[in-house]
Amino acid sequence: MARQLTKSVLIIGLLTSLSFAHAAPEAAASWAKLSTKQKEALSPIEKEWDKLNIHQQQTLLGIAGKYDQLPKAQQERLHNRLKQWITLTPAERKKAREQYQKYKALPPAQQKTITLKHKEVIASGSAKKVETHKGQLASQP
Amino acid sequence: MNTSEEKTIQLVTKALDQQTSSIPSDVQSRLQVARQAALKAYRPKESRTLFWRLGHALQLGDHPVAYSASVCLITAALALGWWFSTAEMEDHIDLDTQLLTDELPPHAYLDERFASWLDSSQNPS
Repeated sequence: MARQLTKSVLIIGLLTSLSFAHAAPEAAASWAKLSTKQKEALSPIEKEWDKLNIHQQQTLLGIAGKYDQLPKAQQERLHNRLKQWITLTPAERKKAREQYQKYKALPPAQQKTITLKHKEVIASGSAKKVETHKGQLASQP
Repeated sequence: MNTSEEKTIQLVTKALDQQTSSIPSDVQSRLQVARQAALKAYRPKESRTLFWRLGHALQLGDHPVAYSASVCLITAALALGWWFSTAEMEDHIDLDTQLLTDELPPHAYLDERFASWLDSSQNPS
């Protein structure tokens, strides 16, 4: 009885480990092992690559796989944002994904309104920064 | 089997050992027949595997397909788990690609003001 039970447990264990071994992300890939296309897509984060966890690397490699199909403007956006994206915590990335999905679920007109509001805020923030900087320069002897 | 039962068995065995000679021959032969019948009826407890138990739990009982059905069920559950985790990864890749290449930068979605605009758009008063 004990032997058969052990046998059953071993079979289940083997099946489970096989399944998870396949489902789990492969071992972390070093930058040197990436293909030329992957390196091109992920070039802004070359220095940070080896410090990323396996799950992050797998997701980013998936994104890199779509890089070629993106229009030039979107490729540039991706390059400009990758560095900032990987510095976010998993909770921040999760929140960003959730908010993005909510935003995309809105009708296009409402999306546009929000986009404009955000741009206005950014523009006024930049203007304030410039004024503060000018003020600091003027106060200098 | 509890302690009192064991004690009773020991007493009966002892008494039988000591007094078989005093038992009449017809009683002895009836006892022998009863013993043979008891031995014939005795079957060691069947060892049951985990798969059998799973099959039994599925009301398959001793059916010959119980073992195979259980193995199939476990394999299917594992395959489903694998499929879900792969699908989740694919969803993340698609979503992250869209998010990172859309008009607004990722930090916009973390802005509290953005959340309030989103709420007011979703629930216009």
